Amino acid sequence: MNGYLTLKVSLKKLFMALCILLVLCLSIIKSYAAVSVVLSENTQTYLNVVSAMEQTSHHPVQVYSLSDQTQTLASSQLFIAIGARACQSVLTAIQSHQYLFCTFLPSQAYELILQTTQASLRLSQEHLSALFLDQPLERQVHLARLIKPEAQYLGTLLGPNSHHLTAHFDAYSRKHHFTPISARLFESDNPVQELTPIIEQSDVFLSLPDNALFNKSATRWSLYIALRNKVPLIGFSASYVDAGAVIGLYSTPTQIGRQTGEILDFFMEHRYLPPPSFPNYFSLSVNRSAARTLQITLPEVDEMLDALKAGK
Amino acid sequence: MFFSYYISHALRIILLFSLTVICLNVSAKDLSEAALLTQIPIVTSATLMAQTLLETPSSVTIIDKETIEASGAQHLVDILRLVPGFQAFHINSNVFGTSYHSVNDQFPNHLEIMIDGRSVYTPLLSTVHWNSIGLLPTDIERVEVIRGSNTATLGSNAFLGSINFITRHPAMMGKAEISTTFGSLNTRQVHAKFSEQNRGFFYSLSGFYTENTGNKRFNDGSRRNALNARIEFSPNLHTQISYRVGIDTGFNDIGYLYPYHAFPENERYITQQDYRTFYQQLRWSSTISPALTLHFDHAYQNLKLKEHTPDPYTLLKFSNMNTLKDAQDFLALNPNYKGYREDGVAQTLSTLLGFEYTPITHFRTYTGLQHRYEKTVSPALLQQERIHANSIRLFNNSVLTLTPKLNLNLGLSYEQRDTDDQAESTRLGINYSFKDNTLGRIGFSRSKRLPSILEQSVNFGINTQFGYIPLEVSNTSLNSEQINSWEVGILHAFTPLNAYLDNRLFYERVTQGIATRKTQDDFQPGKKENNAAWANMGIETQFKWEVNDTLNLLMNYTYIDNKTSEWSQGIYENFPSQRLTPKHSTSILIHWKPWDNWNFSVGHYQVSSAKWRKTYGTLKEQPSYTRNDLRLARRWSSLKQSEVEISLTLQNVLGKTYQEFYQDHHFGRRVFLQMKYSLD
Repeated sequence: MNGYLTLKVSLKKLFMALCILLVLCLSIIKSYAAVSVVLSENTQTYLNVVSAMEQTSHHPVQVYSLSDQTQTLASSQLFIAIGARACQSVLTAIQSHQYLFCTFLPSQAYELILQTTQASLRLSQEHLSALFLDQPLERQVHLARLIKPEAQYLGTLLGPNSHHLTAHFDAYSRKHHFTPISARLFESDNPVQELTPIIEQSDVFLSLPDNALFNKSATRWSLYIALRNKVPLIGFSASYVDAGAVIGLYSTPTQIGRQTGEILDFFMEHRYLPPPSFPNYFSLSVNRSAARTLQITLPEVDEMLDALKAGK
Repeated sequence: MFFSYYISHALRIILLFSLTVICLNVSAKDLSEAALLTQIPIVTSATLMAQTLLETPSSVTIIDKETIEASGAQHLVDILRLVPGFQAFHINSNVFGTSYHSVNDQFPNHLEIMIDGRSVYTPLLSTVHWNSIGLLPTDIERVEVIRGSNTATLGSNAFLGSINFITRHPAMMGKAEISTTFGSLNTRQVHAKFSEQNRGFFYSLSGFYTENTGNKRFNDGSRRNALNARIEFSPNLHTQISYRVGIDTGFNDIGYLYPYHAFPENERYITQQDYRTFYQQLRWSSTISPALTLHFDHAYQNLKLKEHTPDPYTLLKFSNMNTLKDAQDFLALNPNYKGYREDGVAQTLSTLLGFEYTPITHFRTYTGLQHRYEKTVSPALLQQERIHANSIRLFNNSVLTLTPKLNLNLGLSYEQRDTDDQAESTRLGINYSFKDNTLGRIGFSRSKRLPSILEQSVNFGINTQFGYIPLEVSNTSLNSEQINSWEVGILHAFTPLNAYLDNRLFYERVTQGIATRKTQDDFQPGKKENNAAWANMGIETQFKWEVNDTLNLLMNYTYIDNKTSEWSQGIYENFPSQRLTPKHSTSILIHWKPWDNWNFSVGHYQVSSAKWRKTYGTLKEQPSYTRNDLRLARRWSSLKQSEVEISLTLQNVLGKTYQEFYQDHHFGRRVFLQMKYSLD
């Protein structure tokens, strides 16, 4: 009888131990999720990217925030870094057998990270890639042509992070039959003095994103001077359009999240990352009031989107 | 094996986070997608920080230029008919007022009114002298209205709310514009604007001449000349400098349009008030680092009001005097006698130093130190004394993002006047995003309003052959007025419809309100005391819908259950448990552009009955009214870089005359024809 009881107690203990082991195994498996997502900030904008990504891809991911220092990152095969700070942080710590996909960051930021982070040398091209937040320059030049088919001069102002695009800007402008006009603006420059001659000569003005100071100060003056000279301005965000740009070309966090999800599926299937790319999904916002003020008739938004997608 | 692998990864993760901290300091400004997500500022009046409507601690209404034009507003206060909770009134043909949830007389004193952030509140009259601020609706780019106490940001004057009229930036103007307006009340008006750019700065000049003869019964006319200049300059990307200067001079006829025992039957005493306003303002802001911006704002305003002294015949007619000699003797004893005592000089000098600091993404703060100097000289209102006051105000507004959906706004203000008066104010706003397009806000504020110079130092009377008889004497122990207010706001954007709904439920309780009291008998002087209190409870709704490119709709509705709980004016009418402000008010504006170059708009305004106060007691009730306005405009822009517009505005088009403010001030149908030529 005693033996039966002892056996029963032992079986019970064994069962409990097995249960604990199972729970431990499950938690270990969870911590070994194949994909970790690291957010630059735990704000709604970044969470929207994650949400759209999760809706597109059914592969489970673990989400971490850089600011959340009590969390520990899993030893994942693939890291998806959302935002420039997350990209730089993960890149610094990653090992050569792991993969890093940076998304929702400007192309200029990505280039700068690669240049300044030695760790990037450890990774092969198939192990490191990105999806940019900004739009390809050619798409923006193409849009300029669409909104003003008869325009001859296309102007832009380049800041500290975008001045290296001068040659591309000139090339794409010529490809779309524009005469390019551009200048570089330094932080010590008077923005009005630099912007005015360019906008006065331009038939369309393209506002390119740069660092926050440049965007805050120069873009405001661009809006004022473009409106004053009745030159349509192409902006790079929806709020820019609200503020007076005739049209804005941009990708929303949801669109970036969706494409990131597709790339995640691609990776899970092929086990390598596609090369860095600009977003396939993008939006156009039109400020009808500004268009009326400038007396320009814009094509329908869907027509422009189709044309831009066809032009890739 | 397992443990060594685990430990190595744990170490790597620790390293990762260490590097994160380091990375924060490395070229953060260059490496962020924030560059593409930069929000163009939307509202600044609530906390002095650029915020979207979803981030502000109070309900905010923005009226843009297109809406102002469509409304056909001829005066600045008319724009405010389109703001929920606001009452805009023409006190007579050329004296205006606006109030928000206040129990006010002809001098509404509980709102801070600003032009480009510069206060135009005058301490001499404890109100805004609207017809001397040098602007017409055509000068305004947009209006930011903070509905609810904003003392935590702007100080005492913003006791119940604040309005910031933002003028057009010189770079946003066409190169030149001239417009003429003719219409009712024999209105004749010319307005001209000019702007240019030179050596990296923009400047503009604008001015107007306007005159009217007032209404036919009282001939309460006005004539005004104003000139404004503005310079905008950015020597580099870090610095923004702005300078404004202007003058407005002319006259307005003033008078109380209600029966008074000393007035002859059906006649009202109307007198001319000459005025001159001079102002200047310097604003400078500099981005010291990506996290720190420094603001400096210096403003000066001088308002001179000169009310005409009545001649003996007029005095005899509008007083209890029996003979012309009595009137002559009275004027000999009181050579500077003014019938309404709206006479004197007020100077205000304000200097503000502000620090806008964003140490981390989730936290932003604005700390300001403001010095304000006020000087008034008014024999009519304050005897011969020159009264001046210095006040210092320290304030802070902070925004903390607790979670992606939860925002916390905290505002604190401490104001100290050299007369040992102090006022502390606090405001707390909690904003929660239920969805991307739905936001809830809970707000609480506890604010104090320091008495104005006039309220504290008013002192006037008359000289008689028997000696000086005081009519009102100062009360140096007057305390601050206080308000506790609670609000629940729901904002919802109907994204596919391009529509936006803003609801505000509120409860406010004002205590220690200032009212004039006379004790014992009529011959005793009056004195301002903290003997009033009232409460407001209600709801405000604003609905904006951009139906399509050619059709816009704006609708506002307000319900206020207003009740005085204490109102003691001694021997005069006391009115506890009464409703004074209108219970319901509605405004609707439909703006339609049926064809290119054609604009058609319809305004509908409905206000239920109101009782406005006078110095002692209340005026005869203002009955409820409905008013409909129409505006039709046609543009021709065939000439290169130039445009001609002709517009016709019909106010109160159905023509049923209604009472506005005073019982004898009747607003009939008004027609205005405007021609505008602009050159880009």
